[in-house]
Amino acid sequence: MPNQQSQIENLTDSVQRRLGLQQAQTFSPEDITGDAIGRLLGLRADVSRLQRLFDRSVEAGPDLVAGWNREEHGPVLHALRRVLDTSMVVQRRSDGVPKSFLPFAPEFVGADRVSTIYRDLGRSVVEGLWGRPCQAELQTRIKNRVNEWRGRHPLGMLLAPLCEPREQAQDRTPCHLKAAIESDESLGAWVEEPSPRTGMRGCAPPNRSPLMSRSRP
Amino acid sequence: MSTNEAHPANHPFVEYLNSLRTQEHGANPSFVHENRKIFLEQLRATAAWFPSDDDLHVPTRLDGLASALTEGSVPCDLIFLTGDAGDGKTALCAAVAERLGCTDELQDVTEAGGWIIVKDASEVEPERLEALLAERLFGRGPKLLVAINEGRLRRIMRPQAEGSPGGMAAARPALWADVIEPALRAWTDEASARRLDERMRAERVMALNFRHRFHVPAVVPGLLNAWTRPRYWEDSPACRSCGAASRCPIAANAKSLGSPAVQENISEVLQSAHFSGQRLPFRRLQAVLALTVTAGLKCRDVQTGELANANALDLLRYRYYEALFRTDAGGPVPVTPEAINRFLAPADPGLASTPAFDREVGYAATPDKDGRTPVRLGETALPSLEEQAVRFIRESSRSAADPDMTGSMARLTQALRRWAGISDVSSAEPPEPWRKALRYLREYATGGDGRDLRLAVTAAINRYHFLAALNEQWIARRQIAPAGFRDPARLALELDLGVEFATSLSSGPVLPEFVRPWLESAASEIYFEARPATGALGREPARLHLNARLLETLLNTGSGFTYVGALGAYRMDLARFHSRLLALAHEAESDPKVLLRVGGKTYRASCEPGANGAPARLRFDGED
Repeated sequence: MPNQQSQIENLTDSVQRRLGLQQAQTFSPEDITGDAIGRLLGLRADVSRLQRLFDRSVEAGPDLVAGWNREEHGPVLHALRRVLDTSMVVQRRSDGVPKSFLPFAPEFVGADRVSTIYRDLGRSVVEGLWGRPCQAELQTRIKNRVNEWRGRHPLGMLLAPLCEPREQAQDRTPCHLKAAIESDESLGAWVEEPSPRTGMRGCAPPNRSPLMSRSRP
Repeated sequence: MSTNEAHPANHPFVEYLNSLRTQEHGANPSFVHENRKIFLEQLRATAAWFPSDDDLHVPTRLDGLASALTEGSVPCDLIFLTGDAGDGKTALCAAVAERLGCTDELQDVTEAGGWIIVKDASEVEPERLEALLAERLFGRGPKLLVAINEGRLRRIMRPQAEGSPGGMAAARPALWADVIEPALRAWTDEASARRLDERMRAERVMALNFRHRFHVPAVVPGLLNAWTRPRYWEDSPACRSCGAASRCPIAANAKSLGSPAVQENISEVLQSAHFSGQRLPFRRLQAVLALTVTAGLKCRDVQTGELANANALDLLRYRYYEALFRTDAGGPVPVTPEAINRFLAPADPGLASTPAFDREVGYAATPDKDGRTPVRLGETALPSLEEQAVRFIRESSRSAADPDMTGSMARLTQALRRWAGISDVSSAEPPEPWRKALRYLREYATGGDGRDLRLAVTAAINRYHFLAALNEQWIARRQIAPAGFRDPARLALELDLGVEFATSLSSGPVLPEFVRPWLESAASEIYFEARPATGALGREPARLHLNARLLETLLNTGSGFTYVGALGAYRMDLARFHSRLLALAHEAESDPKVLLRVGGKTYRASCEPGANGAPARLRFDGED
């Protein structure tokens, strides 16, 4: 069994390297979306006040709620915390404080420790799959839709103003997936191939992928 | 006398029906058009009474198209037949070729009566297909009828890239955008159907998309009537000479399925699947109906095989209602169900408990003193096989011979529930929720005003939001937020949209008049729509796709089932619908508010920006 385990790990590692995926060993899929949104919009935010909502210390209430009345507002803050616990929190620290949130509004994508929390996973999406010259229109459409989100979700509407936007530092290292697509003709052709149904690129059926065809004799 | 008539173990009609099943291994797959003719000729060679092609044929509107093409009364030079595998494209090509005078087997490319017929574009080299199309599109050569799957049609007709039209696009630049692409859309409204109609006539090109076909109501009774004629069964040489006829589930099924009420019930079960998004190409429909007749059995299974000495309860496993709803292959003779069977479970009467009915089954199965008490359920006498099964349980109970009496009783009860639900003794009042949902949708899809449907959905959405009074007219302004659909903790979050929403319905696909006469269709993609009751009437509404399963859940709110978790996967659809309501409320400048319900009180939550560089803070204002 240990031998099989290591074989599987080696296989996973090989596929990751082949595809140029970065840091794919442990991640939350929702954070791929979050990171991709942060990169696509060039917008992240200071989510520390959002995290503060989970702080149970005495001074948190007055800091977060105007006209704080512990007896009246304490249960309301508690109810809001429970709502967030069950609907918005993606990753937590060991003390229970959230590290990342679902991006119901783009402001919920944190600006701190991006490469640790989000593991740069959004780069593969934004620079690799959507970074082709022909994807400009698609990117614009996604940006427009995401920018609407804070008006489409009550939590986005309520909490986005708590998160102050911050400039995003640009990555200088190359994106592995982008490099892999550029260096591998067949992988590049597969990414470029329009889906027969939607006409979108990067969505060709899996059985047309170069990875699948190479596994055949 | 032929060999088979001497040995009725091979009833040719049973063989034929089993060959229509897609999950039958070891039989000729005559559901594939090319295999059908020779197989039927073999059957006729051994049994002269075997029905002719005309006797087996179920007329549909496509027959009208074949005739019209032959008569030259369809004003077009190029026809694309597209759809799923098993939709009947090849069969239509063969029918047209025959009427145009082609007596030979259909080839990949067949020329007859001024038409070139390509029965399956996948079997023709791309270069040849392109050449045929190019000739036709440049107005040269015979007319062209092409059966082609959607992917290939898109590939061959779509312009290659911006600024460099491919061969087909060069011949007719507007054909892709004006005709082909709109014809392949899953949903078209009245306006786009009118445009498509104009363009098809102008280009003299028809794209007949079989995916828009809704043929269940026409085909189910047609096929079952064609298959259950007494001359193929109790009056046939094969059954007359069979010693097992009195206990044969196949013969019993053929008899039961001749009943118009049973046919109508089965049709409604399958229509419900259609209105749930499960399209039924002709092949799949035919396969599941063939399964209801034979239950996947062969004559030898009943005569000399595993069922020769099976008890009456085991024989019930092979009745038509079990064949329709069972999803397992178990039983003395394993039979693999059709893929569609799993999708029929929501309409399965065997899974719905009615205490009064179950009690009656219990009474009927109670051992009697002399073993001669007639077996009845209510006022209804049971058919022979069901009666035998009840007597078997009575006897088992009396002799204590069955170590699993509880299991046997449960099997009997489930089988009889299914029998009552599908046979003509069932006229549930009020109708079961799945049937009620189907009838609402069907009424609107076939041209009704949909008023009852709209009111029922509006009321259900309001009920999810704990609205005390019945409100069928408007979506109330106060709603649970979309996030409230996964966990009870989220139910604390509410939304005051600040405006009520007027509701309406829309349906599609609307077929262009050019193709409508040739396809049985119904606008069975139905959307529930909502717009702010005041202002913003011109904006895109919030839309909720209504299918039979979702509607059934919504209708159940009327019986008090208002827990949103019951929506299952449809929670996300409803969440998106509410998300759009919120966006529309913003656009209507109604100032929507987020509310938190804590204990018995409601707080309005908002966020106020900090002054002089101070951070933003929340506000919780209690509402009276």
